[in-house]
Amino acid sequence: MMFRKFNVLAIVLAMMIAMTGCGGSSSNTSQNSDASASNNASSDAGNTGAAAAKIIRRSVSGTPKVDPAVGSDGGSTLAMVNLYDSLVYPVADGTVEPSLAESWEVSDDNLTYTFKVREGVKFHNGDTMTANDVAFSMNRLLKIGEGPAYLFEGYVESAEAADDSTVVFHMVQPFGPFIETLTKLYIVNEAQIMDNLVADGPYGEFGDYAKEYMLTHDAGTGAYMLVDIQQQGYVLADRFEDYWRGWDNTDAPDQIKFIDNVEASSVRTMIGNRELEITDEWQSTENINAMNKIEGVEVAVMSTGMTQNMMYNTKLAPTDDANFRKALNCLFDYQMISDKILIDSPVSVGPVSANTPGASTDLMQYTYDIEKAKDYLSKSKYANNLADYPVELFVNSDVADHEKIALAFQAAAQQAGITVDITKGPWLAIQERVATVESTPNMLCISVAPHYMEAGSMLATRYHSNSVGTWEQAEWLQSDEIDGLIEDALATTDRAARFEQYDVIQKKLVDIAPTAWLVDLSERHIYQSAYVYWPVAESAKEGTIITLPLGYTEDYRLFKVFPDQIPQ
Amino acid sequence: MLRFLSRRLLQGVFVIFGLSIFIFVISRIIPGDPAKMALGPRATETAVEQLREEMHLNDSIPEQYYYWITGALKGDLGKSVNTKRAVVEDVSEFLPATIELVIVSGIILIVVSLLLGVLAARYKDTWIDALIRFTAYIGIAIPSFVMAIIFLLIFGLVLQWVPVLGRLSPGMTPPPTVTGLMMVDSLIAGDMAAFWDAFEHIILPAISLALGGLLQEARILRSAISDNMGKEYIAVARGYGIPNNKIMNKYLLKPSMIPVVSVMGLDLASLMGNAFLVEKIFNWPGLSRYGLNAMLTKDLNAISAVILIIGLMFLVINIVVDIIIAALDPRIRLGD
Repeated sequence: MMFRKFNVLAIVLAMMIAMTGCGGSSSNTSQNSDASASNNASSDAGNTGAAAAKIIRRSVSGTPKVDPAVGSDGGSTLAMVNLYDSLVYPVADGTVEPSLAESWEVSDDNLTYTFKVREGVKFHNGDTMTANDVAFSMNRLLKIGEGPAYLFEGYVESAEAADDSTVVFHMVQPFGPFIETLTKLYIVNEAQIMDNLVADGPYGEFGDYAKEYMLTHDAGTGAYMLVDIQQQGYVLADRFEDYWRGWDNTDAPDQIKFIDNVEASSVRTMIGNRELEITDEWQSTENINAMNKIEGVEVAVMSTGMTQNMMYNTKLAPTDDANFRKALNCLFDYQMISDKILIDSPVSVGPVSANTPGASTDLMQYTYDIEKAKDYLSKSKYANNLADYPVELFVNSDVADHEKIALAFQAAAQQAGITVDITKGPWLAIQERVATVESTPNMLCISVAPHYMEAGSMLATRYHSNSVGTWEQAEWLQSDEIDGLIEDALATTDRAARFEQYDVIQKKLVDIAPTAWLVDLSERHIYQSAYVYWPVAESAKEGTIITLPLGYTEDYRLFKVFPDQIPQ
Repeated sequence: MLRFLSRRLLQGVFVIFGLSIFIFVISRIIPGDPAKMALGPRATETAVEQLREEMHLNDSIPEQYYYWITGALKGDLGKSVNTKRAVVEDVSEFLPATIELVIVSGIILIVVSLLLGVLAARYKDTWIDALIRFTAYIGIAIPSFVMAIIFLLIFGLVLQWVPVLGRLSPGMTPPPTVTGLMMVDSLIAGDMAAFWDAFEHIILPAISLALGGLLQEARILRSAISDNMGKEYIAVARGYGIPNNKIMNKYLLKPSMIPVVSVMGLDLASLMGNAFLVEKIFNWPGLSRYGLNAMLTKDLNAISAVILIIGLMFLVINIVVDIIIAALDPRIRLGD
């Protein structure tokens, strides 16, 4: 403690000394070093103490929401996966396996799904989960209409419990990937919710549906239970000892903590000080490289089926011309982007990430070829007046890697005679720009992940007319033909037949080139490999990049933490 | 004095009223649907429409302002779409952290700027003066958030002298909340370990925040003292054989402080506004960081509340500065 006090005083003094020019003596330096060494020791001891409780601390953007009917961003999804359970659990091959559901049946008309629910599962407050809770969770989600409700709206009419262990979902229309989407239906405790309603709310007899209560409480059965949540701070959860899957993994973390801070220098400091075990997915390549040099730290690579896109506004000149767009597609150096900018991310093979079930891998992919670009340009209606049609390329000012892609593209476009104006703006500006077709830029560099692990999710999200005006579709494709094909495919319950329909859609999209599909974006996280075992990261080291829906790559009950192996 | 105070307070009411209209209108006319932004691109139309109704977004801007201002007068600043809580609840949680940071930063600013200014003037045209001036140029030119990153990496990562993130170390039990100021509450609770831990956490963000302002004030004070040194009354004092230290303390410092106090007042008020990025970098859970997040996500009620509070602080500090200046220079009559 005494040395720490000295250090703080030393900082204050150092500032003053530096400013008055009296610093730099050898004695000062020597004293500081001694104090620093001592402080390091105490700091490490503190970390060892923290990790002795086997904790995983992970940086996230924004304080996660813990209400499954409200949160759907990355941090919230991470929290949901660890605080709650769903009826089914995703497997890396794109299928699902039973979780809270033991089995299920589908009616002949594909309009009724009946699930047998696991018995004896305890909620965090000790209540036993029943089919009523499952039905209540779906109905609450649909009624609130936030979070992952969009996955079910228009498809699920209602849910009801036939008995304590049987729940029935009534569909409005057949929905092929329904079972896969259930990985995002997190089951909440009906009694706990109903006991904590605020009567004065927008949901009639359900008041506020306990939305206020759920800001600071969880109501799940998950492996971890919420202990504390601080806005602009963190979400802290402890291991739930009565977890229904049990704790065969004795090295699993006792605590998990999501820290609301993705600021590059802060994250780097926390990793260096062993105050953070896993970084967020938003760190730049430069920061990842810098952190990767720290002893005992490695890069974990995984996929959530995300693709890095360059979206074209197909309703705005000159990107309203298919040949012009194809010319632009030939001006991206895909391999360079994969090798130098978005590292560990393979070049895309089409609209859907190659490792997402239902992705077509035999599509024509454009390559970097300026002569071919000129050839396409000559067929475009803007061939003779290119100078009159500069192209606006918009990038997120918070993502340095996107600007690099834009600059490389700008240089190549210049060689083809196309003027590219790069504009930058924060996330808010992107949302504002894509709100109308007139304000949407010619090109927008943005990444999008599927909402469930199937090509249909990406195709519907990216190219169905109901997503125009959002950042997930800046193309404004608005094609009745594509809409119809997507709807038909999603209504097809036979998986093989559905995948064939996906293939047709993907081929049509390649033909009209509404987007340049740059790379299948891998997530890269820095993690403390010296004392944390992360199954997904281990697979990547052995050459297999695991693809799972958002959040499921970090199911912490599967992790192992070895506090005695923290580098000193 | 009373007449001055009541006049300034009355002016203040109009200023705050004008500011509230200005910020309210500006935040609402920029493109983008706040309800859609709050709920995400995939929220159902029913949910979006419900939130629009709740936020009165379907009404005209004057009507919206009426709802907001009548609520604000009753202590209801609306709901934050980010935290999903009442803005008043957010403000009461985050404001003390920022106030504590600004107070410590302000103390550093005042003490060190006076010290450096006097030193530079006392040793005018020596290497000490040259070094302080040179440092001041660099310090003023470097924004506080860059300074924050440099300090964080040097003292937090490389040297690891102090904990650098948040207000308290993870294992430390926070003292019972009395004022919301962690250091003060620790002292009230008699918990010296928590006090010291809180002090360790605040020192780097406070210095980062204060540095630009304090170096500027030091420069101004040095110039003012230098100017006053050439005046006849100082020559007379020297002629009487009064020691230099006494001349400095008794005859030079007070009149030289007037321009410094004016600028210092503005700088102190600006600390809160400048804290945006410093709070983000040091993971300081304060109001400025809350405001920054609100702006990035178009959280209308939170934006209005944060800007109003910063405006209010400017107003109060300006009144205090006027009173101090009048005390320093009797020629300035507050009532006039």
